[in-house]
Amino acid sequence: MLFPLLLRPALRRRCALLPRLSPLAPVRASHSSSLTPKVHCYISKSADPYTNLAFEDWLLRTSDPNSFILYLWRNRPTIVIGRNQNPWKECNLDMMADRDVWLARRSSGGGTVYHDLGNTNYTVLMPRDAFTRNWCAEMVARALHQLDIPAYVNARHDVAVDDLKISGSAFKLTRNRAFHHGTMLIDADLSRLHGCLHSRNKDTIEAKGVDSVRSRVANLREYSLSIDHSSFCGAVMHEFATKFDCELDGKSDSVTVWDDGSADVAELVRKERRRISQWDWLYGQTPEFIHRFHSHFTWATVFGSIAARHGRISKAEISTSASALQPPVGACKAFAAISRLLHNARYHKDDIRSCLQPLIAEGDPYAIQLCEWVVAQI
Amino acid sequence: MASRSSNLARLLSRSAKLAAPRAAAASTRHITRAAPRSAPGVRIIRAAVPMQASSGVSRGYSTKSYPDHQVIGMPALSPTMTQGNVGQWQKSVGDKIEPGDVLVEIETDKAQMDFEFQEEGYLAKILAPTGTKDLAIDSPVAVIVENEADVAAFADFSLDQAKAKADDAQPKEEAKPAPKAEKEDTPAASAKAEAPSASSEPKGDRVFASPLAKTMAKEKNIDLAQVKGSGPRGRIVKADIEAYLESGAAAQPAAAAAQPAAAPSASKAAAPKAAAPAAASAGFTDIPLSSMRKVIATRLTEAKATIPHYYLTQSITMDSVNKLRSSLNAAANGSYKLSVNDFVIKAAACALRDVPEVNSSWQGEFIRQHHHADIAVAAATPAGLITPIVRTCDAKGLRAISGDVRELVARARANKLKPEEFQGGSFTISNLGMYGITSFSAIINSPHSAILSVGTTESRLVLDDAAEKGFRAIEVMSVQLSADHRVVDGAIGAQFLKALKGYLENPLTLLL
Repeated sequence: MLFPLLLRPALRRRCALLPRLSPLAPVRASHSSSLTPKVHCYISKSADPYTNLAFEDWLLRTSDPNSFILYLWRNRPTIVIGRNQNPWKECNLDMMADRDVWLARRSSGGGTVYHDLGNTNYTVLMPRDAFTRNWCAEMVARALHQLDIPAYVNARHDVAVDDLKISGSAFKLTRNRAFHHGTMLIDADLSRLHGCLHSRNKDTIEAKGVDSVRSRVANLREYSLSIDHSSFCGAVMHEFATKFDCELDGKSDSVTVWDDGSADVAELVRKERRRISQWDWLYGQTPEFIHRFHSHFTWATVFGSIAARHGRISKAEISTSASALQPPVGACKAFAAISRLLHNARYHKDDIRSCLQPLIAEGDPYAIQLCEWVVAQI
Repeated sequence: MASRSSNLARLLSRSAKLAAPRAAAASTRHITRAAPRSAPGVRIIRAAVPMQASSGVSRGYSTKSYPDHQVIGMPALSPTMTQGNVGQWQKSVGDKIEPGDVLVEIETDKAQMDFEFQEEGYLAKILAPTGTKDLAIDSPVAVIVENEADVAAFADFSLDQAKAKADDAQPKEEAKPAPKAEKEDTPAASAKAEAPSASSEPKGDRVFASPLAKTMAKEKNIDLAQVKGSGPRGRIVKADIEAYLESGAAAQPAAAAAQPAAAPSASKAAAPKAAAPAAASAGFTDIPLSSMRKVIATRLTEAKATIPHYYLTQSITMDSVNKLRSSLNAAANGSYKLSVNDFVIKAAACALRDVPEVNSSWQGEFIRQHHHADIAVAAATPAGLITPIVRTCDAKGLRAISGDVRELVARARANKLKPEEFQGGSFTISNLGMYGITSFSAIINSPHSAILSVGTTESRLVLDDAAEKGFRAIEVMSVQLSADHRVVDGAIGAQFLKALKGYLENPLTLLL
């Protein structure tokens, strides 16, 4: 069929190097007809997750309410949790620290995802009335068809190939704007993904808020040797442009590319970036949860329960079962002391260790054993 | 004062519920006039809210222990939402709430939304704390009061009391055909102050439907008058809209041209698989209309319905054209390649010059006769049929025509035609010969007054005394002219075809 052959050269042309640093213009019409909606495309060359998320938030708050915007970005290795999720329950923070994987919390709902440079994110912002869960996912699936990948949209509005999830989606709606953003696993490190997304406290933390729904995933690399970030971006831009009958390539002024060096972008997102990279947002926005754990010591079986609110411990309780024999005196005193010392501490290993330091300093062996044990549970 | 007027409202609304709708309208007029006069503290609130919000407010009336308050339920922030998770409360107990303030963030099915409250008041009690999961629509989430002083009274307000009140108010809510997000003291007064988004229903013929059903109908472009209601007193509820959709009566006119079968030929094997998940239900796929498809539909329906078509058929011997074509192409050296269609276009242009009545268009009050032959060539693209125009064909040579056609079709397929390149023209040629079609009757493209349908060239045997065997084979192509009888009479159309036949059977006359 003649059509695909005619398309590919055009696609290659669009995927050629995009111009750097066009000025960050406000969204304006890509052609003068007032009937067609305004369309713009932003591409981020920055790999900083907080900058990219802050920019997305800036687009949501300040873009023209009737415009349709495509934003393409990717991050350095980061685990991104949903707005109302619990990082301790969703990911393995120790492994993340070991493997230099950052943590970010986004403002849209949904579950936890792993980002790295082999994963490309797309965001489509649109007027609130134009929002449906499927059109953007279908557009991305069509873009993948152009790249010879048989993708489809499944029941959970994710893009999948062969029953394996390659893209996750989440949505945010405000008064007159909405966005749909999603990931696309092109060539991500899946072993790091699985490792970081598996928390040993998954079953011991009882959390309010949203749990992730796990799916089996695959990289697009398994279906195409030639696909990469720029060809995927080019295909999505092409589909987006086709939908709105306009030009979206390097030469048009409807595409803005920016990177870490763009001072204007940095200024726009500075405040938001700081807000979303701090403890209060990343951990403090966790809905209430209770972490229950227990262990068998030689002298008794000890149960612990830590309730936390806004990332701070609201109630810590260490005890043995009611009908058990009375544990040693040192242990009993330690139970009460730990409860007292941990109140209002941040739910974080180092914070808890430093809160319990006075008790450890007292030297009682049972107290020390219990403190070490509590710290190890976090 | 406030409690007395709200008691009055409650009593009157109860009677309104029992009465027929018209009667209710009469009594509520009475109420809306009364309330502002007697109780300055109680406002009739006409809130304009975003289409998707429905706050499921049930008014709590004065009781012995608690002052006037409203219990806010989980809103349906989208037509398909059935339950939601409560996120961060953006307001605390005792905070003042202005219309439009975000009360709390709601998450549902991966979508994070802000619940904006559209009235004034003070937050008295939070019934669903942050993190509450899977709360059904209309379940109580908070208590709002009008007076700051009343906030303290709700410290011990419990969920059970709120639930009891909601059940009490529920039958009244059911009977009210209140459009979503209308918070009136009285049921039928809401018919007068309809939110802009619900204004599509005619005032005199009010349709009873739940707010969610109305939103769904609006979103899916369903006429509520067509839907049978199954709720109390014929009220249309969400289930009725869903049943209506399933009966296939409503097509989804979304902007996306989501064609699962549009996968390129390289992934043929995958295309059926891609189509299968998209279909989901038994044996069909609903393909939303692309803008091109919509345009084709409107224009061709209009043409077929309004233009008095008639059809003239002619067979043309193509031997001379074929010979000329092969010799010209042999001399081409790659700079051009002429097709049979190029000859047809040129011949038609010359015939239009000879019979200018066919090169005309009906303009209602007059007929416009064009001086140049701007011929539109029908081209099939994956997105649909489009007719790019080759301008002034009478002045162009075969080579120029061939180049233009090629370039225009290529750009049409890549979706890059400018509007002036496919709008206008005076005549259309549609050639389905490459598909083996022997003859067909095309539909005239308004505002043209004729279209030439070209079929394939076939070999036929004709009797020939001069030949050795008494017969010879000739190449015959069948053409059909669909003409607009308002502009082109039968004889004129016949003359045109005769001229066309003359040019094609003696192609050297194209030089004249």
